[in-house]
Amino acid sequence: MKILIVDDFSTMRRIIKNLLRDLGFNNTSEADDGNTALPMLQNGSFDFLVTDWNMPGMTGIDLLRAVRADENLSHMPVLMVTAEQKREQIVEAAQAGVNGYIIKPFTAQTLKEKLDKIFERVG
Amino acid sequence: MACENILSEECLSLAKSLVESIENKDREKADQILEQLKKKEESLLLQEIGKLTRDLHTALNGFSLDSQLSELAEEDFSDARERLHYVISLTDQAANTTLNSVEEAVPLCDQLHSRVREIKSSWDRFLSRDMCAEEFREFSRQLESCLKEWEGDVVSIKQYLNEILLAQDFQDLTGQVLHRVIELVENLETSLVGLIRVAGKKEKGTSKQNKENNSDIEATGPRVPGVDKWKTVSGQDEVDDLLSSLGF
Repeated sequence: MKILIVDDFSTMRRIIKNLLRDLGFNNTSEADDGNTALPMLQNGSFDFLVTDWNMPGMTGIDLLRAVRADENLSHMPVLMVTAEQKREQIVEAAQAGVNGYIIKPFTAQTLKEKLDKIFERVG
Repeated sequence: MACENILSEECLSLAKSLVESIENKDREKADQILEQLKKKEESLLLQEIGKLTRDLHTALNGFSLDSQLSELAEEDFSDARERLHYVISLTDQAANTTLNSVEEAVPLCDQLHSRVREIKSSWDRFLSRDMCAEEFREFSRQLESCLKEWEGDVVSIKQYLNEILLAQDFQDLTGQVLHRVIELVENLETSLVGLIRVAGKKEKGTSKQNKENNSDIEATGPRVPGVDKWKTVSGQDEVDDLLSSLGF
């Protein structure tokens, strides 16, 4: 399972990376915004995308839309991990096709639950 | 509009006529001209007042920029203050969580270390056959209980390390809040520069409202309690409920 972690803050990327490793996912890569992430997704064989929303350059919601619009990537599960917590935003992400939505600050347990749920549905 | 003043051609000709009428001893004419000149003076005064009024009006208009400044000063400054307080409380929380975990984990490591040394010295004696059967049975029991203990200790230490790891999320959350404060300071700078231009009359002040466009789905970073008024979900549970209501 190859996972791409997208967040503009390197500390958050490291936190997620460590939590994922703890859950047994050792193959992760990082990108700091949608513009960097999209070509990586298009060129690499990623199975899963974890992305923040609020990033300079291309935001997470735009990245999600771009992923869904790309025929090779459109089925990739996407988990959003973000501090954005307005109802309109969550609805927007759901409509754009997000598979899970975690608000920061979050716990290791929450991350595990959401991942399990996504794999249950996708797998 | 040519500004009427006392040095105008009209005044000059009036003055000449006045001199003429005095020379001709024409009292009636002289009085009439004097009256006319007096009226002129009054109208000059009125004009001056009119000009002052217009200047005042222009100045007041120019200072509409100032209302933007006062808005910045009254609302946005207190907003920035609250945001910075939030940053302090988040960093404080993170530091405390980290220190608490370290304070719990370090004694566990020390305990583990001293037990390992005890076991090692017994083990060395066993290897050098310096241990009788009775002692060895005791050592075996000790080793068994240690292994159980260590297993628990290692799990605990791992837990503390995880807490430390998660506490680092403050950097992301405070970073986003600080970015907003920086934006606000930049807005203030723009307004102040505009005000200076108006005051210096080098350039007509154009008030440029830099209020962020708060569309519903635009990214706004973490909600700062007591500052951000927009409606948010209360936590992960509400997110889950909302998503499940949408068929997730």
